[in-house]
Amino acid sequence: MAKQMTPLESKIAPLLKLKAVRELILLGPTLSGRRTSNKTEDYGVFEPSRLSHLERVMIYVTDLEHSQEWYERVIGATYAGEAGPFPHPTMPGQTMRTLTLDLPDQPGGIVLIQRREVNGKVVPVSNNSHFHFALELPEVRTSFEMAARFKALGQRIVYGPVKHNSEPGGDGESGGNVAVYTYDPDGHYVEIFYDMDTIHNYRARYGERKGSERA
Amino acid sequence: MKILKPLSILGVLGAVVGGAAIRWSVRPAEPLAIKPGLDAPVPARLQHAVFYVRDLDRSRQFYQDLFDVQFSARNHQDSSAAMRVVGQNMMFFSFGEMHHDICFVQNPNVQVDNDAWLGFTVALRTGQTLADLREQLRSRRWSFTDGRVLPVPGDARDALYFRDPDGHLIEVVEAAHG
Repeated sequence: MAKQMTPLESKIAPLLKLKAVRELILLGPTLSGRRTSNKTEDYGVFEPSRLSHLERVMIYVTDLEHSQEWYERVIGATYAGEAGPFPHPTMPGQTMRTLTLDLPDQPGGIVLIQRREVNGKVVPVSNNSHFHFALELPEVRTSFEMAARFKALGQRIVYGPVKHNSEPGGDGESGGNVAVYTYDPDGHYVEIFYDMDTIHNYRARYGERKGSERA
Repeated sequence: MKILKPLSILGVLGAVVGGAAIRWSVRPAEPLAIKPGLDAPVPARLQHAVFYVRDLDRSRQFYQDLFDVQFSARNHQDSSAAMRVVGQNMMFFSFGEMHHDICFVQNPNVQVDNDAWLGFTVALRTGQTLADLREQLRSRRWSFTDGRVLPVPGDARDALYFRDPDGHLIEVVEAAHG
């Protein structure tokens, strides 16, 4: 199982908002000259790719109804439909049931899947495939409000709300998104965020100049 | 961005996925239970996925060659305090609008598997075709399957799916019509 953040680590993590703490942690690479940049500004302006958007994520769960209840109650997703049991499309011998959830702007955005072996046993869920998946809030709503919702529901906040950049109060990471993280019943790490940087932000700041061309 | 609403059909539908007939059903709506914090925000959409890979550069090459995703950041243990604390490295990629849409994580303490998810679905940008993608995959002798990996009633878009170098399943659907 992938390492999950302990409650103690969750309490310590906000220290990353302090630049002095980050610099202390990075003292080794700084002194040795291995320190590199993680600033998106150094990677140039984006061009369109062949892809438009991420459309859905299909995650394994151990208890379909329990996970459905969690995603409806904690996240606010809504039931769309279900199917199965039917043969797993890529794992011979396994069967699966699926339950699909809608998000307001993305029907079918989350698919919950319960797998069973030939002997009927539910296949355990790992946490070693995806690190997390992220859900974007609608305009004018914030992850601070989402954190308040988590607190009201007694849902553990694993990390955040925190802004992923190096501005004051940011944690020194990349993207600019203000995010809050939690675990679902199977330990899937779920991010809720708003205000991620876009290509338009970078163009407004830097035009078409790439990182090496900027002062 | 227009996204099809594929699951709005009430009732029971059949679908064929991977040669197997699949019955799709929708239960009648139940009265809303009391939901604390109901006036709180509800996430509008799925936006990005971050997944473990064994070799960052191999995955970067694969996804850039196939989809032309844009490299937008690298969070390395020599550049990021958070990465240094958790002992992992990351690469961020944009589809061309947002800072990142998919990200790779390489963590020596994680034995990467495919048992946390079946995979994820991405949509092609308007003007891109599955025919071109099929040709690319064939030219690389990369195995793929035509059709949807799971039933999606009411969505008639063409699709195919395949696994990336770490076995993560990627389903690709054509751009939304209209």
